Amino acid sequence: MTSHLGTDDGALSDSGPTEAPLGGTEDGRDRAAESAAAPLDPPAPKGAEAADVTDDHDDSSQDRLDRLAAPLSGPVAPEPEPPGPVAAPAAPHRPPAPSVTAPVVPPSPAPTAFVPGPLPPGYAPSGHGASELSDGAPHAGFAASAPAPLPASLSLADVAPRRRSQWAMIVIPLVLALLIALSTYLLVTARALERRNAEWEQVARSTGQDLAKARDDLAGALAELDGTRAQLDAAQTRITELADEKAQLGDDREVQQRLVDFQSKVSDAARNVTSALTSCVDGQNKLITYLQDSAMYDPVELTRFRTDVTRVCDSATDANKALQEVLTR
Amino acid sequence: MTRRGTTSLRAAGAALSVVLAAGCGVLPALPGPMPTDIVPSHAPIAEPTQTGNLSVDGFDAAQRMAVRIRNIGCSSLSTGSGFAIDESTLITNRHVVADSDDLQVSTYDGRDIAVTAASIAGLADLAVVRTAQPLPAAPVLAESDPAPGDPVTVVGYPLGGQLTVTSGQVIGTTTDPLNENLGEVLITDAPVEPGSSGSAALDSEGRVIGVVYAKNSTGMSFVVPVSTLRAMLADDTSFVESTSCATTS
Repeated sequence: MTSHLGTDDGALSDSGPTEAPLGGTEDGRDRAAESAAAPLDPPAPKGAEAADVTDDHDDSSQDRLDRLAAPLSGPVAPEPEPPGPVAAPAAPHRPPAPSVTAPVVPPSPAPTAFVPGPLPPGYAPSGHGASELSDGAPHAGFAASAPAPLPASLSLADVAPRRRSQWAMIVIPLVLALLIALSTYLLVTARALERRNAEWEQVARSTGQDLAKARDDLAGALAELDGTRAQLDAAQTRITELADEKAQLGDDREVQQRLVDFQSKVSDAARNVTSALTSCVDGQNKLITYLQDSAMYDPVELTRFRTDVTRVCDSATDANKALQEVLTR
Repeated sequence: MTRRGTTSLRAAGAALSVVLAAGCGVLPALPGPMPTDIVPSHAPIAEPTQTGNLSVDGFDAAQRMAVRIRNIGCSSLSTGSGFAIDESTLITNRHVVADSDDLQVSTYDGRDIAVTAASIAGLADLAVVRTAQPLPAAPVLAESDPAPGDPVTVVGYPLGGQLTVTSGQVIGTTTDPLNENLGEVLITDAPVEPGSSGSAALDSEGRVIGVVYAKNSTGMSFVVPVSTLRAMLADDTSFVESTSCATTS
């Protein structure tokens, strides 16, 4: 679509009324209608009208429009010149194709949807350039109609850039603001994290010192624990030994006690034997004395006394034998 | 601006808001306030995997429950072993306390415990001794008799000497070769000696599984099973008061 703006082909004039319906706004249609309906209008008002159309555009759109309109408005701007020297100004005002097509060609698929309509009368191409026009009327008509498709072409080409520019006016500041805010936030966060990192490092060093001290204390405590365990084992062993020694001493004590008791009983028995033997001897001595003067005593009493002495001596003899037997065991 | 443009602008704004919201989630957050103390007040304490020899003096429960019994007879002196089943009750063999004029009990650490009474069982080589002072520790009786192959630990005073712990395993069961026990007795290969009579036979968890009462020439030890002990303790008439040799002679 925009390529039509950069050429001087006869199809240029065809695009005006054909593209008009493709315009996104009623203004585009109106301008196309105007351009089709007034091919003989003076070019100046058309140029002025085209300039008016772009008044409400922003600067960038105006610049772009100026660039686009420059090749077409070239022959229009020198309005005082008569249509006679049409061929003369046509050649020098031919716009360089790259300067126009390069910034305007949109990547949109609009050209594929372009459907050429019937050519209006007076717009049939007769050649490839304005210089090939046979008379002045068509030439004048071409000169007059050259600005005619300008509004239509400008509106068609301006719709998408205009929207893009509007979007750009909104999005770019927003993105810039967002990037600035993001950068600020990241900067603040990075500095805060840097400070926090320093604080944590300090804490880590302090904790590391505490840990090292705790490890030393733990190593000391474990060493003491090992020593204490060894002492405990030794103490347990010693306690067991002492308990056994005490038990053995208790056994010995009980044995000795039993021996003492036995010795005591033996001593008592020996004392009793000794006493019995003494009594025996005493009785026998008395019996001997009595028998020396037996006439002085009753024979019956002497016999009874002799029997008693014999019994005491027999008991003493038996006790002595028993004692001797016990002592010999 | 047309309605379509406004709608597109709103959609773009919404999309931008969504992107901003998602982006805020990705952005790093500002660090919060620095914690004043990072050391926990209560550090987690690891659960002990085993109790070890945790007691007031480092001796384990098996040693603390064992007692040495001195039987002072009218004409002799003998020693045996025993173990506590509660604070003031000992279990030992009948032949350990028989024909005694005096019974003397001492603990693992050499303390003497006064005996207040002794009772003997008629159907098993078992006796119960009551003490005046509390005993250091008491084990738990196993619920059932051990099976052949189960580990067994014997704690006692062999030959009247030091407190000794020996280990072995249950060989099986047999009838009492001494005809002193009703029913079957356990056979183990845990080493015992004279003086070990009345020692507690413990399982791997420290529970009493029987009472050692005899040994044979091949080194096998004979144990009154815990089932018999439980049956005797459950029957109030199974134990009778032990008589002193001084009163019978």
